[in-house]
Amino acid sequence: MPEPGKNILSDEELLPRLRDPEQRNYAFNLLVRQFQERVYWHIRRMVIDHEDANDVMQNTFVKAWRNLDKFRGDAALFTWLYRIATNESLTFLKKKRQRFFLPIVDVENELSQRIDNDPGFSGDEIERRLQQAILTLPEKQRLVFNMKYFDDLKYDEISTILGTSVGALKASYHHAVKKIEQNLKST
Amino acid sequence: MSDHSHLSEEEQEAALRSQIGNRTPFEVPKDYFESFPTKVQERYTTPRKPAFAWKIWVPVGALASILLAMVFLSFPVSDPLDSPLTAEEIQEYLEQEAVDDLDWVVAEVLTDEEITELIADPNVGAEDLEDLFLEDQINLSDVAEPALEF
Repeated sequence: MPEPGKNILSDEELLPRLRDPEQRNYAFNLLVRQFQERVYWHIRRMVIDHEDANDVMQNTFVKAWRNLDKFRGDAALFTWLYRIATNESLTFLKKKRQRFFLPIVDVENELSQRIDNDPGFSGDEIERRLQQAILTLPEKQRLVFNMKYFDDLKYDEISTILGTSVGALKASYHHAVKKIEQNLKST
Repeated sequence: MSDHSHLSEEEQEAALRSQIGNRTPFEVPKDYFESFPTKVQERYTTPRKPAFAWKIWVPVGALASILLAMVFLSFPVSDPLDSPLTAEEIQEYLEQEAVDDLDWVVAEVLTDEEITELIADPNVGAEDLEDLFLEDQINLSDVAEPALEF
């Protein structure tokens, strides 16, 4: 799904251009423009900080560029980009833990505190509490919740991105919604 | 916050959406999305510095040896010479030992001076190190990301 309001090219229009060495550079620039906002927000919700999101986003598109030949077109381009962005976000969080010897809960606590102090946070109190409640979820539950709740992705699409069965995703989302409800009630 | 615990998943989600909405409440710097495509294009079209290669060409051989030795120690086999490592074994080792951060591994075989030089060089990133592995026939990209092929 492309960014709303942009000149939209379908995968069928983009793919031949991406495969043509003479058009590849230009076509990839179009692809970046078309999908950057969706990819950015997906990453930002995972890593919270803008500078970190910018780094992960650059890595995502550089990796996509370098792996273009591996994309066979069996899935939609945006699904492929989401998968790379997801891998890069998880790798970023893992490295963060390794570098600072932090267990998972401390990284999420740190991210939660960032929301409190982030001048780029533009939400009201209930939106702040929702974002902080999401950070209490296990990483993969958080991914599923974000993709379903904020991106309105279908379970089939999330299943392709994460390589997880639809049944497992439904269970995961169900638990996530319950935990968030409980968390919001208790705060 | 109202009690929605008696509701179905769809109803709970609808209640959350109606109370809170599903906007992502963060801002981005002005013009970020206008300038990003050009910035990232500079990264993927800039050829990587060939001058960098010599700096760790010698250590990379040693690094590969250390990695292979560590893998052999972790996966004892009756006769290592008759049982070459598979990509799966290397991947399993890398995951178990959490050495996917190549910076750390490289740090084991470089001198302090070389590490300082590498860190100070803005053109040298983890991907450069990964490329050296690729040149050395240890295809970490394929090992770590088979998922990209679809």
